[in-house]
Amino acid sequence: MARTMATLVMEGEVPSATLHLSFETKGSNWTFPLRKEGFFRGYNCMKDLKLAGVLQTNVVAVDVEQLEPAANEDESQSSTENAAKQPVSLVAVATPEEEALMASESLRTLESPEDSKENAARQPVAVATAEEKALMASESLRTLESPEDSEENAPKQPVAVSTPEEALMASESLRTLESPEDSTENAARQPVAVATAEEKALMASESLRTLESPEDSTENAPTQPVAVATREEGALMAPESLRTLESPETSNVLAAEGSPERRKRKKLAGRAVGRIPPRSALKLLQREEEEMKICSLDEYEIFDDDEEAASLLDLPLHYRKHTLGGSTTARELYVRGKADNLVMVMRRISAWHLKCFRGRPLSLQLSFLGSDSWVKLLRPSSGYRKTAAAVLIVANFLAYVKIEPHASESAVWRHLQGIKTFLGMEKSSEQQEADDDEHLLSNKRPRLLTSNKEEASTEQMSEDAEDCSVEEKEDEEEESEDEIDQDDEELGDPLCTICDDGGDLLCCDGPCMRSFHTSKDAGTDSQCESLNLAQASHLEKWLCRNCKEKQHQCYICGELGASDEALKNKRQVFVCDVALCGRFYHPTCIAKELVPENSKAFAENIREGRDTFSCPLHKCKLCGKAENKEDKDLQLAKCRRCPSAWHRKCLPDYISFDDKGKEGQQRAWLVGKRQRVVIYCRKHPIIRHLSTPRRDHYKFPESQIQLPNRTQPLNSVQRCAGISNLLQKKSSQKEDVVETPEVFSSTDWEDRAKKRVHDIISKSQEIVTLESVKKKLYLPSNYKEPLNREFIHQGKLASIMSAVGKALERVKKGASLEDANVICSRDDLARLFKAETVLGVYLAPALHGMRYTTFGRHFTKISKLTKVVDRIHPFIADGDMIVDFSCGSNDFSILMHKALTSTGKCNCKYRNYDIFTPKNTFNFEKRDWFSVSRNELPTDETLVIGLNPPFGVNASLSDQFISHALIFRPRLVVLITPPQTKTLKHRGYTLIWEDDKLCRDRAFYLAGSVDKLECPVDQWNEVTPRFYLWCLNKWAYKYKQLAAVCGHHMVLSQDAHAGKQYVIPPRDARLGRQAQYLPITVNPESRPFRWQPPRSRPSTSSLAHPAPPFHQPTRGEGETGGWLDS
Amino acid sequence: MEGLTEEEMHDRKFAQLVQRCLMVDNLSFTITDAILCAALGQFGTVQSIKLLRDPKNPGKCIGTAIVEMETAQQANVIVKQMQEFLFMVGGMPRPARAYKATEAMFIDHPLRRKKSLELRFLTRGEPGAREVFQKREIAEIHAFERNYLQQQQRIAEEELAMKQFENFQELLKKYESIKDNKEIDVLRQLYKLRDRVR
Repeated sequence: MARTMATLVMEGEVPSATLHLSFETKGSNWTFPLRKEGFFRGYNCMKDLKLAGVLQTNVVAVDVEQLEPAANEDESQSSTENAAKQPVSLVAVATPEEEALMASESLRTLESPEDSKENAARQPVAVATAEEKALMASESLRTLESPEDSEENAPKQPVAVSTPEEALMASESLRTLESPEDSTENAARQPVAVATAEEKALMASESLRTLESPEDSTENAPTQPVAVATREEGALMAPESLRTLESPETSNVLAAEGSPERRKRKKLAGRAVGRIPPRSALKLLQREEEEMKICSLDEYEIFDDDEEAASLLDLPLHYRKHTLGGSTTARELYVRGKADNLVMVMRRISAWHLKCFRGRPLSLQLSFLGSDSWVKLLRPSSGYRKTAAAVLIVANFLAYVKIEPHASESAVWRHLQGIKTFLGMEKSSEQQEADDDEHLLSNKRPRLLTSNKEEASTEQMSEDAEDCSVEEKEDEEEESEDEIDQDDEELGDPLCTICDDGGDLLCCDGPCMRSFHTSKDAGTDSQCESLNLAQASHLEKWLCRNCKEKQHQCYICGELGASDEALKNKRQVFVCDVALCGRFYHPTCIAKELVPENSKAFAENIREGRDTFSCPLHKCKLCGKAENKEDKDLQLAKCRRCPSAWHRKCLPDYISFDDKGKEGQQRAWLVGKRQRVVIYCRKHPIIRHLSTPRRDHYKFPESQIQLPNRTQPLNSVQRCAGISNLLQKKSSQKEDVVETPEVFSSTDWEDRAKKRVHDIISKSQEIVTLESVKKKLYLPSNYKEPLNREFIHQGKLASIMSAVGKALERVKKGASLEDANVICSRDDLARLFKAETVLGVYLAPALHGMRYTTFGRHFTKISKLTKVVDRIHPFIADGDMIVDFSCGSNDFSILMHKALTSTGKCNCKYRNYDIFTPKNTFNFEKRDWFSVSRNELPTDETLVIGLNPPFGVNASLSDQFISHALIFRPRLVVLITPPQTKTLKHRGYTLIWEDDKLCRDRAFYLAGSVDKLECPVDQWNEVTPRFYLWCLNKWAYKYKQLAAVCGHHMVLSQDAHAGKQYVIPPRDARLGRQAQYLPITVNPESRPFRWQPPRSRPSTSSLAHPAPPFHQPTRGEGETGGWLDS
Repeated sequence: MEGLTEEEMHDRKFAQLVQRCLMVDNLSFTITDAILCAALGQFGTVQSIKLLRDPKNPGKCIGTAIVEMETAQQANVIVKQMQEFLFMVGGMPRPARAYKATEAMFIDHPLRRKKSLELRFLTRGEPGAREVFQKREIAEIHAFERNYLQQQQRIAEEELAMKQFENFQELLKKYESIKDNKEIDVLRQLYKLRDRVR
């Protein structure tokens, strides 16, 4: 398989630069220039693609080149100039200036991407394309062929304005190009672009015939007539050819890749049938191939001379008219697939290219040696899918990102998932859902399909097939919020202790680590005796009889013995040290096994508690080494009846996976997702019809504790919510009562009344359930319900914890780390940490107490807000729209309004979004920020977005808010966010101001909460959030100057002087007039602060305006001076 | 508005008042005026709060309060929001409920004026007494049912609380056993595992 190597590197922040994407394969090097903007979202995906191992290729961006700034920025140039300029420059200048992927369309878009004028210029183009797509296609073909015929460049130049006539010209030129090759066939091929289906079939059949001629001489005779043939004949030919081609084909295609035998077989078969023509015959082929016209290839596979699957990346890629890469390796690659009329063809590939139109899926196209037309590739054949995946995924990714540059990461992933399904590398969505359901249902009970055991024999052979199916990567929307991915490895026994089969199992929460079938139904497949528990208890904790009575069996001799730790040295059985092992042993039994020569002393030690042991189940019987979970061969296969274990590779002969071994008995099975091996060793004769040894190995002690009768606790959550229902129900009961007889006996009516009440209760319980309540609740769109919260069971936790202690003891006594690893492995520690995180998140409200009152919202104090407003208002121009995406108590907007009107910018607009209505609804919309779509806010760079989003775990929520904000391309982004937020640098923004001192002290208060002293609660932050001010790159220069002038000292006015004029900054070309900057006094003690009017100013309307009426915060309990103090 | 008598104006004011008020239910018994005011003050200006107390031992709140807001709109907003979200008051994970106020809730409000009631004793033999006695019996049954229902509800709530508490304790125990365990740290360092995420 071809491997390509490269890594993604982002460089350069110069505005309007293009990014180069280069693939490096074995010495060939091509670059794909891309628009920078279109790339950012997906750029993270690329790296992750590499990490996810999906892609064997990584992508390298070599360097960033700047296009002529005139091309992208200035309005002064007309679009026509651009249009005239660009194609010329592109044609004349070397490769790096060209765009990838969208051959014809990209040319148009390159001209003036940011200008609206170009939209107009594009309109007629778009219209044209809608009408004549086929002609467009031929046009691009034309452009590709131009290196051959440079004289035709001139008429092609004004590509942007394409008319039907040009298109016709295009097809004509196409024809003219092809004329030198085969004049005789031109007549047959004239309306190339508008080839009809029939002619295609004609071509195909023709091509088929010519293909077959060298291959199958016996059939040559009937296929000779290359000239006109009818469709029927073509159809006739098809099945014949299919027969010949497919018989060796099908078996090859179905077979697994990569096995050397198969490859050899293929090759031999190929040569035998003559499918791979020797070089000499190829030349012949080529001449005759020209006559055939294939438009698309389905179920293709690409291979080289040695019949090895090859990747397209080794071939030269065509862009418009340049060929990139591939030439140095000089590999000859062939493609084989089903042509249009389902006839198998094979060709040698000369080049490939990608075509991507807006609204249509990406298509890969190949050109064959000798012909100049492009053939579209449809689906890869199943054997080839894996190799094709790399190329297709990258190509699709680039195409998608081009079309939707602002797509979120999750959208890109989803799109790529779609590609994977398209490729057939994924289980279909229904199947995936079914798998998910299974996983969810299993919950505490590890689920195992019994069929797994029988399939173990076939599984080894189909390991290759497994490799082909790629594990699905979960949707990254959660982005490590409060979610932890589910541990897919089963903690605990996936097999029933009684019958050794999987399915619906109940795990014991005690130290024995065993699982059981609860009823005969659950264990029907294996005729399990099961525990016969009448009620499959859904209780949190269930202990098996052994753990309850604290009497366990010795795993060696099978006798029951007391195991209670409290008995100290009166204990009869002792537990193995290793985490999650859970097996007990008599001291004498285990001593004989472990230390046969010194057993008495060792047993004595164990009994007295001076020594502990790890049982023989954790070492291979043959070589004595421990398990290595990573290596399949070094996994331990454990016996289910006695403490014997072998490495997979050390398994003795008589233990086989199927019935065909020496013993004729299957003694080994593969279990679970991780494919652990489970065996019965020789000591246990297997009963045929049960396929397990005798099932008398488990002994439950006599029960001495009476099990109380547990009834289902009534769910009172339902009740509480249902009171209003009840109240209504009661009134309807009134009518009933009136009709009953007048005189009641006192107990009678009481009983009846009670019964009625109970009826009401049960009815309400049915109606009002957790689901029905949840349905009524509103959740913000970025909130995710935790799927399946699994807390680690007490028994398992205790086991791991004690193992930790034991491991440390061993190490202290001088054992090596490997020994310690056997007892408590790294995986076990990892499980502990994960459990800690999960628990921590779940218990957070209780642990952190007052922090989470009411909705736990933290609002920025007004003093901090005033500081922010002070800093920002010089950057705001009149007429801007200021958006606060999580306004909280809506203070920021009001302050901005005040500040801006007093400095004369009266035409600013405001929008505030939040999911809770604040007290002051100044320009407020009760909306989820993520539901605001792009066309609701102005797109002409008058947008300023801020301010204080919810933070989330590791700044995940604030990242989401910011990402959504960037969709609107605001001119300014003002943020108070934790420092872990992702930088906006790569999205076209420059940082003007970063301040970590602004929010250093108690900058936030908890809305609506009061503490014990009835004062408002405010918070320190463990990690101080930062204040950021970002602006679009094109404004960076101006704003940096502005910031320097206004000074970072702007707010530190120790003196409360009003009217102090600051230096007036240079003329702001964008604003078109002088911007006035006025000092705003910030007196931390005063409340409310006043905006001082400037002293010497020409009379402006702002003075005449009274302060805008907005709701003054009135006296309220929670609004004491507390949160207004800085 | 001269056309209206003083009474009508009074009634109108009262009606307005009722519009501006809401009733908050299912609060914890420990909630005070200040807490509730702060909690609801996020959404509007709170003019006054009345915490309803147990008539048998005044001083103990029953977890219900009537809140007067500044405008009817604010009151509506709060009621609606508390239906959409589970609103916690005072740090207790009990979702408070809010209802729009009705006149009947303001039995002892000074603004509410009722025509004076005329009371007299009634014996069974009197004409027209039968229906009245029937009604009394029905009222008794209802009172009994109401009490019984509340009793059942309390039992169920206590059981749930017990269960939740036990659950919580268990989880807390598990959490603390892992969290502050020094041995785990030592072992982690030995294995050179990454820092565990706190």
